[in-house]
Amino acid sequence: MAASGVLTWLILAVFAPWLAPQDPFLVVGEGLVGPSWRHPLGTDLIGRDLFSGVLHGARTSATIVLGVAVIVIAIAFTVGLVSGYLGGIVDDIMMRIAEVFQVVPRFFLAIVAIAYFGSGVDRLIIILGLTSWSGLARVVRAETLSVRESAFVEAARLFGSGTFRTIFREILPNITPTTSAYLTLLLSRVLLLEASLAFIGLSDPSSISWGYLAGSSQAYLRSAWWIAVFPGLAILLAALSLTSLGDAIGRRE
Amino acid sequence: MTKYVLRRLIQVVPTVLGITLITFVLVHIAPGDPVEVLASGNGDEAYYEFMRAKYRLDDPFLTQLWTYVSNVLRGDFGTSYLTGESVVRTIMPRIGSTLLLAVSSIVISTLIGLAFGVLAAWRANRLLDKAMLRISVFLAAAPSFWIAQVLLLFFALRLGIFPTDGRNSPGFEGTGFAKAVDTLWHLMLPMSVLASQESSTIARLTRTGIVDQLGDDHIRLARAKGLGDLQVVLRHALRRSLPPVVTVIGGRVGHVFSGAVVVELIFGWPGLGRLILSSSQSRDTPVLLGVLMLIAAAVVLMNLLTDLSYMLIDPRVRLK
Amino acid sequence: MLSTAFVPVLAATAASIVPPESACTREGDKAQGPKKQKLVCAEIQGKKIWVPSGGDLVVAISQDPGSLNPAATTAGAVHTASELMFNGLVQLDDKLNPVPELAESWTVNKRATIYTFKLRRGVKWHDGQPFTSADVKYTFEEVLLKYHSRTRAAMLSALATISAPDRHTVEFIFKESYGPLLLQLDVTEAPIVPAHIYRGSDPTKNPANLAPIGTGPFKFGSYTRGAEVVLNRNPNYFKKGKPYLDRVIMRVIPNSATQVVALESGSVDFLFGVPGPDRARLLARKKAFDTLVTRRNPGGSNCMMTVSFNLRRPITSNLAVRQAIFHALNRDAFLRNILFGEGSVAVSPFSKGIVWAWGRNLKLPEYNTVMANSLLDSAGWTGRDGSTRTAQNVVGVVNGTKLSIDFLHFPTFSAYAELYKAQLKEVGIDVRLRPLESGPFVTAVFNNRDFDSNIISYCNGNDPEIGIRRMYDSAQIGSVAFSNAAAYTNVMVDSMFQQARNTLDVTRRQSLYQKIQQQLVKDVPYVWLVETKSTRIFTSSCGGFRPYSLFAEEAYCSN
Repeated sequence: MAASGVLTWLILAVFAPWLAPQDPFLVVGEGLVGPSWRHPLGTDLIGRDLFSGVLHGARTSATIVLGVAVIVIAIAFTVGLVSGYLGGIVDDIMMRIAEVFQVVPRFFLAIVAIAYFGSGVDRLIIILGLTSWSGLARVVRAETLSVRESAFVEAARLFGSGTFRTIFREILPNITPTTSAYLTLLLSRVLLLEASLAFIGLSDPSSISWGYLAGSSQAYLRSAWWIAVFPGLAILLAALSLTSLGDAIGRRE
Repeated sequence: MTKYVLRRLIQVVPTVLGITLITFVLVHIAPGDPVEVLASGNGDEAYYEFMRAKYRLDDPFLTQLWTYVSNVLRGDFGTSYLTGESVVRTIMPRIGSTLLLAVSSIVISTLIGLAFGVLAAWRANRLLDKAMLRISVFLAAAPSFWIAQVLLLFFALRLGIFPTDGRNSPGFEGTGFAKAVDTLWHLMLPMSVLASQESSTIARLTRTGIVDQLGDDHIRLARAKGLGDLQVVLRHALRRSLPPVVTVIGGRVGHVFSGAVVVELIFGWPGLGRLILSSSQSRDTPVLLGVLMLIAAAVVLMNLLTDLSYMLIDPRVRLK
Repeated sequence: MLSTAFVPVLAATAASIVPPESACTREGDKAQGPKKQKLVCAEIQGKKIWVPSGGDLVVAISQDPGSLNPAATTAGAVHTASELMFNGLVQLDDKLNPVPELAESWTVNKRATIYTFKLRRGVKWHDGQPFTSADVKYTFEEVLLKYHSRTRAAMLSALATISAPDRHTVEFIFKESYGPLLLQLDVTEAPIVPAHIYRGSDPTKNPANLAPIGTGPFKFGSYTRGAEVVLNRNPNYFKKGKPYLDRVIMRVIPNSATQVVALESGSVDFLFGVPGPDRARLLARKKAFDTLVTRRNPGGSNCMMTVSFNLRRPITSNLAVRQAIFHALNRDAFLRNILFGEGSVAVSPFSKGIVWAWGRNLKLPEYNTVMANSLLDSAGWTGRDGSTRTAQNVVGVVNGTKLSIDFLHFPTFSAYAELYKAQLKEVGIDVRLRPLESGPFVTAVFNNRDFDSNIISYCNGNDPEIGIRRMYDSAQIGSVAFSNAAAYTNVMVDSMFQQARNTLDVTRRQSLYQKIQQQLVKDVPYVWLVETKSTRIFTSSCGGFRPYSLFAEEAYCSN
């Protein structure tokens, strides 16, 4: 059930430009018009179709989440696996570094980085990626530690399997379930983080994302509820499906 | 024990220094000239040169870093590029507000989370449990500004039982007890926003922790002794399920500070969150660095506290 | 025969309960209102009415001011929070006529090169020190002419010297005839700060900026960072009897939706502006709220949203492109969707608020996408429907370059940015939005000239000398914030501005300004979008607000 939610999201994301009835950046109607046949989700302040906006938003939000996922997986798994497997000084140093990244609240670092470097989607992905990996790295490390001592890893080592091979063949597949669960949780939080950044006005105005739609229109909650509610709902549903997916993977283990 | 605490306290330093270094680097490689902020837009070349010299902005990067760090160690955090006021004086009034918000949110959310978690575990798999699950999942997935707006509209406007903004009533001149009550009253809504999201996570974690133990030996033993369900849960399972909750709380501190930014903005709560925002947007580097270091130190200290309480709760864990 | 002393006593006891805001006869009389309110007879905007004396006014402001010195900046947040503590040499009434304030009279010599002001006697600073001409001299020389962008831009080059021959006389001596001085001396353009506090220090970093001493109707009470500024009544204010309020409390509420909620719940009494959609809803609540619409703000008056083109960049240096953009912009949509009708579409480069100087019968490029498209086509920018145009034989541009420009704006103007982007997209121009806060914005636009187009709320002020000339004067390129962003250079226009400044003859000035604007419309260095007005909204139990500076000098609240 959860998986189908995520899947729908991805499909919408890929096909958005063809599915959307209008260009989300063009003025196609009167401003602040409620849901109607022509504009199923209404129009925003300056008259852009919200339905198209939400569809395109699926795309941008998906891009952000996937981009962050790539960076986070790359760094966290490298650090966590190496740290957990090798232990000793390497472990200490790496965990120290991870702690530095974990200690400063992500949001603050994101605000600072965007204020000084600009708010493009690419920058956002890098910033969010670089500030989110430490939690996952710890989980990876913890799992690696517990798997490392298990019988089949011992066996693999006895059979002459090199470090690399051991890590890839034996450890990695076994830590995937728990870490994937954590990863989906992390990604759902990234989605919400982007929405909060947009609320403050720090999102990329050149690309429409759900966070941007939901966050920047908060002021109209009482007079034009659709601009604030629908994108927020999209975020809610996407975050929900990500977390349920994570729960499901975790439970299966 | 004391040695352990000391060792951990000393470890705070490299972490905080690490953060300072990262931020320093970030700020220096960023495009833009800090003199612009200092000169407040008065584009006189001579004035720029004067300011550059006064703030030693032309020194090589490492020299600037060294100067900054050695000043900090002496307690001098510099002066704001914008107002010229000492950074410490700028930050001081705001720390209290944010700490109040953060700590109260964490404490309340822990208590509520534990309570609901216990209840859900007691009535595992029945209506209460399922309802709690739905609500907590919803709260965790909803954007915080939504929750804040809803609370504001319902409790402050519609019902009128809480104030709409600020830390004290407009022009409030009371002191002591009266002031504390006024502050508390204003704290309710902002704290509820943060606490609601945190408590849902804690509740679920507690519930899982307790339910997981229900098959364990010591539980069966307690049941065999004839203890009622609730008693079993409270006396025996709860203690064992606390460690992961406590660990998680440590991790939540950073979260709560982050969430505080949005809450402070919506409720006009005069804290550090807004200061971070305004100082980064106006490129007021000394203030920014000061706030980040402070937050980092606060988070690390909270981590230390939670680790210590971890040891108190679970006697099996001992010092490394 | 009853002695005159008895009469007021009798009058007071006879008319014992008087409804507030009803008519009264003699200023200064006291009476009692319902609920034991103390009333005083006051003249407000020409009418004598009974006004509640005392009470608090809670005002919502959107930003923490950071500093409370309005002489060192034109920032709206600082002025809003601090203007009530200061005064200017004159005040401007609603017809923009100068009215005595710190100066009680003045004379101008025939050639308008020497302005002599006689200062009011007996005025004291909030700390008890006497106000003298030394304060005026210091404020102008060390503060205004260095840090107040409009005053500096307008007066610095024209002023020869300021002299203070005695404690109550100040003379402004100009190098050539200078017409507009009297319109630049109110508390928004030239607030006077105390020399004895600031002398010898850097006025932008002096600790008095956080606990100011002024001469104004309200004194500094407290400033809780990020939360509120509390101002207390100045019992020794030189305008006897005023102000009527006990305190003005400026509350920092950054989120505009929360401001509206606060107003509705009664914890705030006065908002400086209301988001469009909420305005109708609030006013529909009968008798609960009143409004005041004005073009004058603490940050400046007669403000016009203006798009600037960087005339030194290849794409925007092309007149046809600029005209095309002007034609592509549906300025009416900006007024409707973003301002909700509060304001007007600009009909001339000068604001209509400067009643005698705005350009009559000028034909600004109208909204016409067909025209825009054909202008771009003939300029060599080819494109198919809907996609971004590319250059084919455009002067100064490599073939194949996309017609893509950037647009810098304050984050608060993001709605304008989005509409601009949307409308230009229709004619094949791609716009990259760059939101920047004030500091970095000024750096990018005025110091580094790193932009293609941007939007600024240029406050024209009450005379073209104040806020307009700086936009077109070639001597103002690059030096001061919010000056000539476009880098517009036209020697004839420069000299016409100079002539207009050197004369007091309004007819002559008017014809010069008309000629200037005709030239500007031909050259299109800017797009003059919309003129903005603000709607102040406040609870009906308060009143007496002025639509311009010192808005609460005569205000009252019955609470």
